[in-house]
Amino acid sequence: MATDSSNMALPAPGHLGVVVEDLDKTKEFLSRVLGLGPWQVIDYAPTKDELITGEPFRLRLALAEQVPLVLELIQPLEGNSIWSEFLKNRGEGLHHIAFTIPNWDEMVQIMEQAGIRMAAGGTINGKRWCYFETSPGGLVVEYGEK
Amino acid sequence: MVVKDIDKTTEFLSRVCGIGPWETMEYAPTKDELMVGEPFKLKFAFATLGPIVLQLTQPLEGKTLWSEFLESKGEGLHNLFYSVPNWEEVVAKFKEQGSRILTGGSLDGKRWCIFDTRPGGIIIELGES
Repeated sequence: MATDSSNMALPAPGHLGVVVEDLDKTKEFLSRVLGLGPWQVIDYAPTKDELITGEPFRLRLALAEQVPLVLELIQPLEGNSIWSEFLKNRGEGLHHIAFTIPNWDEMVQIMEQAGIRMAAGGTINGKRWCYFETSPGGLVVEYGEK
Repeated sequence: MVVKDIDKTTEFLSRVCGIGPWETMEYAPTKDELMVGEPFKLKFAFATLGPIVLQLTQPLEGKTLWSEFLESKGEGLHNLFYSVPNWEEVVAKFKEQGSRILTGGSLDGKRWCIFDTRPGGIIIELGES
């Protein structure tokens, strides 16, 4: 496949995502030992209509404005999701790198043309987001619509 | 990140995500250069991603943290790296909190070590700046 790489360089990442078993304990630990925080905690439970693919789920997120990147902790609460699967298969830890991009449709199309299936996707506050579990290398990428 | 094949991964990430250019190097510390464990050989590739550097690590020889990660979990994001001026102080703090050193050594005379932190499971590498 020929692509013009000049159009598709990603901007600086927006956040790093970590899947955890217990958000409160992790937050407390990272605050105490690494001085991370303050944290903004959000419950996210999209409806079926708000999802591009998959079934509804419920997550709790905690975001810290950490230099140089926002750190996002994700605790799966309900539903079978890519985050609950990750926890089951691999255990807690670093999960994804997120990019907020203006050319969302184009970047999603490039990924799909490269044979990478969208692992999860939906909308939040009217903006689309999606995840790709890429291979080779195993990098999980989140694309958020700017 | 720990990967099985650096060349294939850098090719993919360049082509599909526009990440790169990549700089590669091999790292094969002697026993004397390691704080714990046996010698090994790794291949690295680095690319700048905004304010951070994305590092790919491919285990080449030896039984290591990285080869075990690949065996037990497969490819993917592995650790965060922080370069700190007060290395000994930060390392002592991690140990006091009960975090375990998984591996460590020196590279060009600078010390580095990797901790498994719980809860949360973030693997953190501390390098001496």
